Amino acid sequence: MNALEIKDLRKNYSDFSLDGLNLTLPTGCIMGLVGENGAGKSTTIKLILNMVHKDSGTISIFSKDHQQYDRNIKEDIGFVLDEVGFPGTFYWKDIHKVMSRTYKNWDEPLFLKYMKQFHLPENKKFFEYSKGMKMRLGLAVALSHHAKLLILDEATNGLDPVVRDEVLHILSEFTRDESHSILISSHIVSDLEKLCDYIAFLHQGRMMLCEEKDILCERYGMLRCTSQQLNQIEPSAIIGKKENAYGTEAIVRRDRIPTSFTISPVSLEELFVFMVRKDVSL
Amino acid sequence: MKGILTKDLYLIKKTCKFYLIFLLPIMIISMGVPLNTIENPYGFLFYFTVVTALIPSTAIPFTLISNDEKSGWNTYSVAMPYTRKEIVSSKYICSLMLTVSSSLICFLLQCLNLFLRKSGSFEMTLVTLLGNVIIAVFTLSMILPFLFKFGVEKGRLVYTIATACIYAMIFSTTSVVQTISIQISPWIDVAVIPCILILLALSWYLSVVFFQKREF
Repeated sequence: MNALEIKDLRKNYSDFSLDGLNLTLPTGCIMGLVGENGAGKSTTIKLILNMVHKDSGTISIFSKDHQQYDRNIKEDIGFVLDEVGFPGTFYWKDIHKVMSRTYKNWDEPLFLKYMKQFHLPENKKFFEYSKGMKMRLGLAVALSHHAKLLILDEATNGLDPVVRDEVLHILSEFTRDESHSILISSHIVSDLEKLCDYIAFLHQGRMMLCEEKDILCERYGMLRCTSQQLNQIEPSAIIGKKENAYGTEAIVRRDRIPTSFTISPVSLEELFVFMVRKDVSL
Repeated sequence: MKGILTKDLYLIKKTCKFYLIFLLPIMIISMGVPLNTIENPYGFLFYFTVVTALIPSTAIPFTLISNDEKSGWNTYSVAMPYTRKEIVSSKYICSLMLTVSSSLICFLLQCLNLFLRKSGSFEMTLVTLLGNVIIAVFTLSMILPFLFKFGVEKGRLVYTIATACIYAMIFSTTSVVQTISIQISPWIDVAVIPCILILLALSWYLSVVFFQKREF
């Protein structure tokens, strides 16, 4: 079963359109949504969570329509948005009480365990928390009601490297259970590279690619050569290139490059930047 | 629904301390003000109305919705297992609860005032209570749909206009109450109740429709 299935999703604003998005997240997997600012990552997440209304297309979560079964589905979703929106005057104990009456499967001992693990002070109001603390509290709430699908929008932003590493570890642990899945968007592509099974690249409201991370790494590579050498290569094999005084770097499809060329592995960040910028001369 | 009500009630508890500081002096002052008479139509009744109707019915919805917007809770809550109808209903329930409880407190105070002064009439007290609850529900019903439609910032404009209307109503109600208490049956206010309830239901329905359409 798929945890999330999006088909031909469209949403039009005056200055931006999400254009026929298709995406499938199998159960037990982690998918990273990558894209520049304004690419449509947050809009996609808000559409999934029913915070904005789609113009057309379908969104199914655990094979159920996300609008028709909105309430039931949301019991199974844990989420952290870029701004964690708890009332500023609340202590975490107040938030705990509200959440225990919100989610049917709220697990008090688990929440208290996260509070201890994340070192969140009991005697500080939410507005007194740092951005990192707010994110950790948001994550603790998302993880404390036995959600099957976690949706995280820029949730690792603002966290220091140590906490970020800890959070990534918790997320990895979460998907040890095969019925658990994660959709995560982040600017920190290196985090997604560590964590994700699938990667979806969004650019200007369009899905550039949505693929298994391992397949991406197998399919694409970095070619460093001269511009004359690059001219010998079939243009369709070149995904993007960057030229400077010292030579040329190009992201290429490995299967279309003659074996005489040496191709090095490419990081997701490089792949994404080259795909978006296509042709850059410095 | 329980979760969102709990959150709203906690928020009211935390923010109401400020209002209590503001309300208590008015309550105490109102005890020393002569009861409404034909010569002094803006006596006790004026303070009574301010305490029971105006402040809870206007300030509380604004406080709740403004806090939700500022903290991002309005965005967060729509992604939780609450329906939008429940989010709207919670604001109505909390505001009504506060209006009713503050009205009852002030009703008891007015009864005490009556007992101590041994003047005025119980009928007048009841009519005043009803009048104030009606003003409060009217105000709530007018304000909330605009807040759900436009948010607090734009809603402030509506609030200003509504407040002007409320003040006009207070003064007109005062003279109406005088007339009623002297000439007509005080129970005429009772006839207004179904109309106000219909207005409240309509207001709730509109708020739900507006909030369903909002995007976060």
